Amino acid sequence: MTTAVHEHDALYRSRLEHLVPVREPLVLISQIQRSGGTLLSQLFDGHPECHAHPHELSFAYLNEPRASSIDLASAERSYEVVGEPRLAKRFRAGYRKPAARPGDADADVFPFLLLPGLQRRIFDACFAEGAESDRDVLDCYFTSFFNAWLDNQNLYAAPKRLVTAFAPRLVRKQPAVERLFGAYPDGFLVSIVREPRAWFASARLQKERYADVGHAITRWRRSAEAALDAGERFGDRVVVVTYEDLVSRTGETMAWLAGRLGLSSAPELLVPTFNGRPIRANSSYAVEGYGILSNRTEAYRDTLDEATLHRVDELAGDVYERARAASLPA
Amino acid sequence: MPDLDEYEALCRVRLAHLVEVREPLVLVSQVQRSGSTLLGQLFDGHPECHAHPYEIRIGPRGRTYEWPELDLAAPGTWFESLVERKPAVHLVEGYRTSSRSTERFPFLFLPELQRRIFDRCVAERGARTEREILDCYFTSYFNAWLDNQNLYGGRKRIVVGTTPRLAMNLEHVERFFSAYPEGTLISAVRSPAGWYHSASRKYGYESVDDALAIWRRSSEATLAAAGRWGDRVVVVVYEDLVGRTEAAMERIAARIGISMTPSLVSPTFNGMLIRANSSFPVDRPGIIPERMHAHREELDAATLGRIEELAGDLYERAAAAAAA
Repeated sequence: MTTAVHEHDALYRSRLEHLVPVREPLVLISQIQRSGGTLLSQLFDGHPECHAHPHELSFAYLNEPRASSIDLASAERSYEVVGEPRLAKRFRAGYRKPAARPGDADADVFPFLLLPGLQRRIFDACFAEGAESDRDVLDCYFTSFFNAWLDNQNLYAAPKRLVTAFAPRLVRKQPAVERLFGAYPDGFLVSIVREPRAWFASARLQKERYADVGHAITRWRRSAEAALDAGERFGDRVVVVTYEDLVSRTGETMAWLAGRLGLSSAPELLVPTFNGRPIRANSSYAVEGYGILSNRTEAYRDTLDEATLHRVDELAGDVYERARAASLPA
Repeated sequence: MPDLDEYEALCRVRLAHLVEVREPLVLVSQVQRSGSTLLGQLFDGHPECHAHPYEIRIGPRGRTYEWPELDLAAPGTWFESLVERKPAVHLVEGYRTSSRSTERFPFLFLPELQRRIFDRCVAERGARTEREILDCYFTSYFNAWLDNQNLYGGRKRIVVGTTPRLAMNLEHVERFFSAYPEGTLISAVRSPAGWYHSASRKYGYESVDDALAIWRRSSEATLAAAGRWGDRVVVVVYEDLVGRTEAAMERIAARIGISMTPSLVSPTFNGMLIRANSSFPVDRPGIIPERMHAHREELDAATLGRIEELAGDLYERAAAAAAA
């Protein structure tokens, strides 16, 4: 056996022998894009009580709730429902912020040493020990994810209390929210609502489909109303946060959010990081420094004309006020 | 993906994103059973430290507690001269503080990757001096350790690790400072009775006088090093480390230029709580201050008297140096 094969084999065996089981409840961050979901997920990164999924969670189980079901009789079919096909590419190419454009030489690229083969082996081993519910399968998935991610800087610190992950748009899909709380009655949905004029100014730069005010704000409303509806339906398990509080009153907002989720307040909650490293904002605009861009909350006033500002306010101002009322007290 | 492809991809990614390690070395050294394992574990997890997780053994084969001997004219020999054998064992068996310990910790370290990183580093940096070669060695070490929980975070200021006994020979200390003029030697001195109680159980010394001669040699070398290299040597009393941990670590942190953090008072291995490396049974992780005075009850009066006679003066001098 070559040295490389021997080491690869020893690596697998050692990891399988020393697995950190991941069974904590899931905190899912979800809302329409360009609302601060990436930022919030990066504020949980490095918190010693969190297993923090470091980029968008993209599995069919929640993304396509009507078309995908876990098959408790088959590890292979279950893995198809919870596996994330993008991970193999991220392993080879590294992680770049979602808003980075192709050819952007300035974009940070972070290593992400998650071995797809090892992840599958861990999942299979966990599944074979007995998976009797969707939650068991999801626990096996997250166990496989965080343990196959070899350079995860936050695997061993204990005790862990939560798994955190970010999945844009899911909040709009009622079956997905129902499925989330079906599997995680002890879980949370955190939904960020951004001031609609600021959101529109950012979103129209990022996605062509948001160029039209009416169309864009209809989507924004759907996301914000879905978050408020979920709050009415699932009570304390849903937390609504405004983007403006998150970036302008970060310390207060994160302390409040930590309290709602049962986490300790920790300095890590104030600095966005990717696997322990400072990361630049996932902004639609050029970003030079690291950390939170609190001075961008009013930037939309310079880029939108008066008529557009008025139109957005007319279409969405009422819902934003409801979201503010449901969020962190002033 | 075939196993080898995945392994090669792993190596490529790691080589493309290396964390450069060039910080000065803070070496913890004195005779064994004096608290160096504890001290090393207190540095583990500090965001400003690359903390070697157990003994640094980069000396010549069979004399790994000595400073390494590098033939600067023979680059092909450098890696073999320095490479430590334990990581390959720990990859397969896990890490234990001693052969009696029931705690086993994962240690995901790829020796072949380490060699590749070292070769790449030497070639890219054009390493020629002893320090440049050691920087490449530590770069290879900390990057080949895949589940190192403290590689990316924080702005690193030092590399820290322990090499027992090295400080007992001033010639080796001199070579250490020659490679690391901005480095620091931390040397712990334990009360001679407490040390004898622990060391005799571990090593089975039959004669108090023979054992205390070793303790004296270590303590005298520590004081001599402090006299010769001044501020670059930090003398620590084991009893302060165990009994007044926070104050002792605060003082050490200030001396070596790192921030005082909560991690400095909690012994860990790669972020996981760990039990003491004691010669006696240990039932919980963390520091065990109550063992500090166990020798008073477990050694007879004659032995305690003889130890005091042989070493009491020197311990007082060490305590004074530590307090200075």
